[in-house]
Formats: sequence, C-alpha cells, structure tokens
Amino acid sequence: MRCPDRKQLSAYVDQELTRSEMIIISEHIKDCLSCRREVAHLEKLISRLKLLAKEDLPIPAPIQRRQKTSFNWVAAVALVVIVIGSIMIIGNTYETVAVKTWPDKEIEYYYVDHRDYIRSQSAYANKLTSWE
Amino acid sequence: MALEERLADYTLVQGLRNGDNEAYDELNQQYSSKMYRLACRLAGPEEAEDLVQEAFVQIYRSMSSFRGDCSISTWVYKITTNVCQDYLRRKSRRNWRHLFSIDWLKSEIDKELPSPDLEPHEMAEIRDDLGRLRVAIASLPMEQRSVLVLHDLEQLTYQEVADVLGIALGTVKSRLFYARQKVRQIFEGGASK
Ligand SMILES: [Zn+2]
Repeated sequence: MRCPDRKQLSAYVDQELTRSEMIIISEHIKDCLSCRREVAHLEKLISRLKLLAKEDLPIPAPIQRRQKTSFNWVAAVALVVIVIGSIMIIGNTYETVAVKTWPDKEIEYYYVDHRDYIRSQSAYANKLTSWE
Repeated sequence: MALEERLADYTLVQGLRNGDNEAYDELNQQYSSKMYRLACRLAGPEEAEDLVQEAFVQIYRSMSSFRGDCSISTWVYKITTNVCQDYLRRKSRRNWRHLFSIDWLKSEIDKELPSPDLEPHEMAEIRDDLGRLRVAIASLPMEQRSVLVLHDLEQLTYQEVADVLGIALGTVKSRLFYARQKVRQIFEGGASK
C-alpha cells in the first residue's frame, strides 16, 4: 500500500479520521518505518504542546478580581434599596452609583457597559454584578 | 453535547438573559481565565486584557442572538477569537515580534512539570523545548496560529475548531497540518543544535 498523505497522518494522531481510515493507517504503519517515524515525531510534538497547554498564564489583577469577588447579598440588598430609592426620590441614575462603587476605571467602564446592556434588555436596574 | 451540558448551558443563558447576577458570576468564573489565555496566545499579552473585556461586552450584547446551536463554550471561544482576529487585522503591518515580546515568550514557564522525578537536566530540556514552541507558535500566520492554539493548546475537537472559526472540517485538518509542519521545523531545528 502507498503511504498515506502526511495530512492524514496528522489527523490520525488526533484520532480525527473515520473508523475505517484509522484501521487502514494503523495497519499500514505496522509495516512502514517512515510513517511510524512521522507519527512518533508528531506524537512528541503534541505531547510537548500538551505541556505548554497546562502552563499558567498569570491573569492580571482586574480580571482576577472579577473572578474572585463573591457577591455580597447584604450589601446588594442595601444598595438596591438605595438605588431604587434614589431613582424614585431624587431621580438619580444608577450609573452614578456604579461610578462610586468602582474605583478602578477600567472595571467601571466594563460594568457600566454591561449594566447598560441589562437595563436595555430587561430593565433590571438593580442587577449589579459584584463589588467590594 | 451531553444532555447535562445542554441543560447547564440553557440555565446559564436564561440567567444571563434575565440579567441574573449568579449567571454573570458563573460566566466569569468559568471563562475569564480561558479567554485571557486564549487572547495571550492569539494576539500577545500586551492587549490581552482589553481584548477579553471587549469580548465580554460582545458576549453580553449578543446574548439575545444565542440560539443554542453550539455550546456556550464554543460561542465564548468564537467571540474571543473574532475579537483577537479583528485586532490582529488592524495590526497587520506589525511584525509578530511586536505582539509577542521575546521576554514574554522566553519567560520562565511557571508551572509544575508533570514528572517531579525528572533529572534537573531533563527539566531544563523540557523548559527549553517549551520556550522554543512558544516562539514557533507566535511566528505562525494568524489563520494557522488560531487553529493550532484552539486544537493543540485549548484541546478543542476538529468540529469545535470548525465551528469557532466558521471554516470547513477539511480546512481545519489542513491548516493544522501546515501549522504543525512549521512549528516542527523550528522545534526540531532547535533541538538538533
Ligand atoms: Zn508509510
């Protein structure tokens, strides 16, 4: 049998071929040194890539904080009351609250933006994601 | 997609559409580090954080158009990849070395190597290999880098990569093959020195 296309070998290593293609190639490489070598090289490369896949890319603080901040329900209820109160009484917009809540400018932009979305979709002015 | 996964996705999407706080927290918790890692690998570390934020905003905005014909995970990868690719197109005149500084590429691989009983020189060899691999991946053209990163690093299947990038399965197979060829040239070239 002729050697399979090298593209096929690459997909073979990933087990991304049909069952019959997988069987044909695995039979072929039993008798073909050059294809066996090709597969071994590919497997070594892929095993190194798997190590690289596990590396920890240190996440910068703002994203990390977003992950770690747990929702404080007591503060949430208190703030919702304040926000609704201020909307009803003073006619304040809750973006003002957001600005006060978020000292970090980047996050502030992000959350204001995402709350804008929520408000436009469902008019839930009281749904704040989290704060410290 | 398994039934439990679809149910979990459905619940999450409903939560997000209702502006439910816990749903946002869950989305952040599940995906922000994956998105950040993907952005670093596709577009370099310099703008990765901004790109992730832009991707989150786009996710929220497109919530209403999510029809559940792919998993949330695929959808998140798709939006993040699109944001990174748009950014790379805007920066197309810049050499990859400007996106991925050598310092970053060569920085100490900060993780536990899986076999602690390795000899120090073997550990050093693996670290060296990984450093060279990072350089090789960074130097790939964007289309090839996207396929290799999504498949070989993020461990998506061919079908998932095809869905994320909106390309045919056969294209995934051939792009991945060419990407690996190039990476191997650099990787094995360095190893024989
Ligand atoms: Zn052969």
